[in-house]
Amino acid sequence: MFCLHFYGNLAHSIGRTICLDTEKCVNIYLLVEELLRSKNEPISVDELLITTADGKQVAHESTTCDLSEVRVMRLVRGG
Amino acid sequence: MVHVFGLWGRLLDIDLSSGKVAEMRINPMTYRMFIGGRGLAAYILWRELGRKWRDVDPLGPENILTVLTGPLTGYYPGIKISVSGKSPQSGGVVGSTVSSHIAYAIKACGYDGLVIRGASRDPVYIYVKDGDVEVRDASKLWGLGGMDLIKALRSELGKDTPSLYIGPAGENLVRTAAVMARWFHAAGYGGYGAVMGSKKLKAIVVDGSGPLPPVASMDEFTKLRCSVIDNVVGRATFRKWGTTSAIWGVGHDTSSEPIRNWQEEWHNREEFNHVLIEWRYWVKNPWADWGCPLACMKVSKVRIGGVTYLSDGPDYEMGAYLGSNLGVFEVDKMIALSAMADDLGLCGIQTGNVMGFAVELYERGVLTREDVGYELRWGDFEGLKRLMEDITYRRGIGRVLAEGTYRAAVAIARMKGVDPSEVLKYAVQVKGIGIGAHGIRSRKDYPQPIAYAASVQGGDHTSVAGLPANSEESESWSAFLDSAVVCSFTSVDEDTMIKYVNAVTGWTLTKEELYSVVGPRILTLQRVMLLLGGPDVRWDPRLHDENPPRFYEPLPSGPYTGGFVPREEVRKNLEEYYKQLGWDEYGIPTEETVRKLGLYDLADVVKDIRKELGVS
Repeated sequence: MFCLHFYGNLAHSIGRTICLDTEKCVNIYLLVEELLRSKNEPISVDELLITTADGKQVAHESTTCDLSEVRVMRLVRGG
Repeated sequence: MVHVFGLWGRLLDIDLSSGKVAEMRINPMTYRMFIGGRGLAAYILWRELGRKWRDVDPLGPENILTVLTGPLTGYYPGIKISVSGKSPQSGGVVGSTVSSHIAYAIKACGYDGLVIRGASRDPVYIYVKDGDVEVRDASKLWGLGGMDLIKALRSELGKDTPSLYIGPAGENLVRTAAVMARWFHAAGYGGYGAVMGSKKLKAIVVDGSGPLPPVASMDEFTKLRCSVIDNVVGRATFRKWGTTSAIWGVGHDTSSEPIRNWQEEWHNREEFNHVLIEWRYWVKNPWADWGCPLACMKVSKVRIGGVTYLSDGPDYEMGAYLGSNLGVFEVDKMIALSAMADDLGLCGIQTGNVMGFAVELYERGVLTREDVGYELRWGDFEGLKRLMEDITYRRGIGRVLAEGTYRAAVAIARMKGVDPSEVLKYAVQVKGIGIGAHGIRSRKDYPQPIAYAASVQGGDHTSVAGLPANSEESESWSAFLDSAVVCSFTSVDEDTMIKYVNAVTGWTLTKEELYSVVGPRILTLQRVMLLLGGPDVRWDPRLHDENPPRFYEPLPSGPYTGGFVPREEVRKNLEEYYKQLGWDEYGIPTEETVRKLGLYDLADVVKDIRKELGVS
């Protein structure tokens, strides 16, 4: 089970937590991108900050086998 | 003596009427209750002006301008300062922040901020050098735009020294004037440039060479600082594009960018994008303020009609409000308008808002050539330049528009002999403050329908309200960041931010306390002062806790065509939001709530507000 916790505006649009059964090791950034697309959220993964539970940025090569949960928030709330 | 770790516990209290300089001590418990920055400003303003709040003219000598740091100033990556006072836009208190090295310099002088009261008869600037304060003649600086002013100060002081200043707009008491820093940075929301102008205060210059106050836990602070820097440095996209990329992303993808005074929120203008700006116009990239590892800023340079214009990115808000909102889709012209606003000391958001409003009124025949003196057309660079200058110097129709969108709408309705609602329906503002460049109709950018309607800072996109009130979706989170005085672009998750504040101050703040006590305390105090308002504006929450009429019109174009905000959802969410903050069904804080938050002297005030509104 791999859980994504959404914060701020994303939590309002998508929901606070989504947990997924991931049988294979999937790149976390790709997983988030696909999830956003499936929810019809027009946000690029480049606009997001994805961190571990203790606030460290998730490495771009990290997969769902490396971590069990991540936090996802939008980088830019305003301009 | 250290009163609380990370802060000095003292402010410079400068009276420009008498020239007297004193020290204002701030009790450690006051910091614990209000944190600093925006929260402390609300506290000081209430303490000093509360009982006569409604009668205080924001542009009169009795108003107080606060320039405050917070506990994280100098310690957290990135640098911001909070500017506040009674707002000439809303009549309440707006915590307006701007990136500036001056925040660090103030702390390095041994102070946490400045409280400026009274008004000088002649133009002056305040010069603080470590512990010494001088109020200096600024008659030769009066009238200068930002670029020339910074050159003149450099020449007078012999070196670049951190400053906050106003341009001609602030001098002319334009309510959309900003407090500026380092050419392109603006504390725009609130209209505090006009407050500085009313005090004949051209600039505040601070040269500090001392150490910062000690932190409570150096080990924890060092660990957190390294971790946050790692996190922020990793935001490569932000460093590459800043917020400029949003002129395409917010306009095209999330469909929430103001287009021609919000008549649309979507565009498909491929020539209006950040890649073109980078390719053709950025002459410096990246660029950062002191201590900022994010480096999201850029410098643009364009040359049009023999005139060279320098601006930053421009950032998204300027790009949207002085570009698409005015029908300007040629990026060089948008950059030029942005550069003009910076140099004249105008808030690009508020000024772009009132300019778009004026062009739409002209398009609809409400304003005529006779009223304006020339034609107003979407995308007409020369006409828009002229309009911006007319607002700055209060010439012709500019005199009316210089009052900001809300007051201009009321004045134009009077001028035309029509009901104010006939003009206000085109005014995209909340409680006197133009909405930031993030629409709510597509629900893909700012999804909360009460984001602006319930904000204690009106249309301020950096301080939006939302449900649930005990989460970072609520305005308590913005109040916290603005009070600790942190740039939201370098902020990280709540747990780390709270640990950071505790490591610096030695406090034991928790997330629960932030969302149930500290945040609501700041919001409740700001709410009461907003509802008191005055002297020329009064807000009735039943009427004014509301979105602009335009947000109830369906989006006419783009992927979210037909999107609008349902009124019933707004009312339902407002009721829930009030309830969660301990406010009554009209949005007036209850006596029980103000007492619970330690705001005891507000108990009678909220009772009076209820009585005046006939809801007691």
